[in-house]
Amino acid sequence: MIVLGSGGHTAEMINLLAVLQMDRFNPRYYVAAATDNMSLQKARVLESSLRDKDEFVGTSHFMQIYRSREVGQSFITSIGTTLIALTHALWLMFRIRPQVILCNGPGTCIPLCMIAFLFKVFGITSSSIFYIESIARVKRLSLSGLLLYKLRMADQLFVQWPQLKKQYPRSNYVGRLM
Amino acid sequence: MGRGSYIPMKSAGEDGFVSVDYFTFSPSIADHLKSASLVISHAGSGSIFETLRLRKPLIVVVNEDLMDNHQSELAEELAERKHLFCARPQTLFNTISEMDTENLVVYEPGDASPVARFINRFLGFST
Repeated sequence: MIVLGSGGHTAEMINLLAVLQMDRFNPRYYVAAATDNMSLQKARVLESSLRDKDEFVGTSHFMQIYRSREVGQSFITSIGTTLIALTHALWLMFRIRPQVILCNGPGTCIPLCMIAFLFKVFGITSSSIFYIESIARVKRLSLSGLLLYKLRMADQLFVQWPQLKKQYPRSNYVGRLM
Repeated sequence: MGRGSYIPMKSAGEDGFVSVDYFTFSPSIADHLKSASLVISHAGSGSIFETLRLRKPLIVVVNEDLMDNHQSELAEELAERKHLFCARPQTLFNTISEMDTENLVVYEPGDASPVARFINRFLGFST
């Protein structure tokens, strides 16, 4: 399962996917927020360019998930939309039961990662969760990154700048992706 | 432009005035970037790296009024490493007049392979 976020997040994710051997990561499920128009489109472009290059790259699926909260949304309505988003995430996770989850920052990934973690705890399914913090995060982790780090929900958390590795020793410094 | 209220005047650049053109959206600004000799941009990572990849001199202007200023961390770090210049709206004029593009260091593109190797190893795939 590959969780896509708007703009820079998706660009970084596409960069990573381009160097992963796709026959090992198959079938692929791309998940983006319902209000994000560009990310799934970029993923489709990547998938078709892969198919042009190779015979077997496996299958890909593209799905949208409800956002917990839009930018500037009021707190009261956010509670309702978060519950809807969690329910939707739960349904997606049950359907897909991913073995690997790749995400790099957008809030979209939090409900999915939390549910994946709970599934692991309750033995429903076991997913390896990889979180790559965005290149824009140099000195502090994003909220998503911080949550996953503190609650130890990600199996591996990657950072792109050495300052972050110093601050968060359990993270893995991997240099810049872009 | 964008969500602002100021709209510049287009000008063809006669009588020694600077020629000005604008657009609100373009699906790809790659061609504009390629023909530019200087780029002035906001601090979005996409804009920054697209410009650096083309090895164009870049001034990043950070909007300090923005609540979410995590964008400035990236611009500041890259400025410290001399890959671009950082400015605020108030200091932009000085930055342009005093900048020395010869001192800029070319940004070498990053590489996602280390992450891929890590992931593969973690999952027990041969690398």
